[in-house]
Amino acid sequence: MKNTMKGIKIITLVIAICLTLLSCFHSSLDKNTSAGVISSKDGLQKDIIIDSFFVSFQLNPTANLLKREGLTEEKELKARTVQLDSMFWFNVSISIKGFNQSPLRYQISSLEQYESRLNYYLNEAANDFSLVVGNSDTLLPSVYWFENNQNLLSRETMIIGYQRPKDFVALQDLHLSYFDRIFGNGIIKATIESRDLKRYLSM
Amino acid sequence: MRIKSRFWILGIIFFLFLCTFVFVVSQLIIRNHDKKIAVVDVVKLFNEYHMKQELEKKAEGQLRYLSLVIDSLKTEISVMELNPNISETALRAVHNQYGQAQVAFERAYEENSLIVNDVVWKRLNPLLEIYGKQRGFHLIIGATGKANVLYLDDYFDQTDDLIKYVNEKYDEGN
Repeated sequence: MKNTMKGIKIITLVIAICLTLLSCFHSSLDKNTSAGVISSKDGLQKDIIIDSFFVSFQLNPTANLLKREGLTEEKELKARTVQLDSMFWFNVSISIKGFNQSPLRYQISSLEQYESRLNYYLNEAANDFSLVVGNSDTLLPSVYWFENNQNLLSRETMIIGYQRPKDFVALQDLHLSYFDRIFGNGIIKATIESRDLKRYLSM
Repeated sequence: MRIKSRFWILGIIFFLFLCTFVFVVSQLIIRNHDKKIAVVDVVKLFNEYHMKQELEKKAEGQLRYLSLVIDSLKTEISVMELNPNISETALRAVHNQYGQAQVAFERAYEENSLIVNDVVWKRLNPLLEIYGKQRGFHLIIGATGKANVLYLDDYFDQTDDLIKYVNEKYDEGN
């Protein structure tokens, strides 16, 4: 009897260990990093991964922009708030995984090609952005600026401003799209959802 | 009596463990042997991918402009041919312009098709990989309707599901 009990205990222990080991070996899906969207906690930044390209769309709240400007006088602050609130401000940056230089230099074969890229980003890229508010209005950029970092960073940033429609309500999603002509990634889209926009408007 | 009941309880526990163990192992064996295969209509996938449709709309503008230029040159040629006062040199010049416009249109059409094709597959390939892994497929076959897969029934056909998946990923931001 004692030996039988001992045997049962040992077998039970062995099976329990086997089950534990088996559950550890179950295959979990690889977190694929060649395509996908990563959303920031506040939902105002969307990072899109396409192959080795990393495109980040950041909607800038007025409060953040005012902080950077460091205005202290109340009158100036109010006026500037009204100006900034009338627009949607986006930062769109491009970087390339494994390439530690400016994307302008990625796979270029001549100075002309580099200059052509630079010219595109300085003067023409604004034509490839559009913002769809809800399901209706398509807005084109009112303001565009290319932050030329003089090849000191491994990313390039474009700043785009859209005039906020007068009848805009925070119940609508914002769909920003960019046609990546230079690197052949096609049309890249990001959606800022209305629930995150409500928070943005109250910032 | 106490020893007997203890023995029975341990026996039951052991039996339950054994059943669970056998069940888990058998499920793992079945899963590994159940080779999931999917077949996808590649042409339908390509054509119904929203990004492909939007890229074609973008290219449409340029192609429409070129076709309007061709049409207006054609009209000019037919008018000039009816006018006896027009010199042959002038007529030939317009014919040349017409030829060049046609060549430009064909080149633009071919370039756009190649670009759209490359860009769409660049975006689709990583999504296909993720889709296959998430759904547990071991193999996804692309059917073009011309070779390899000549017939498939609904059992293996994942075309509609895949189209919905890639379009959702594209529209939400990918």
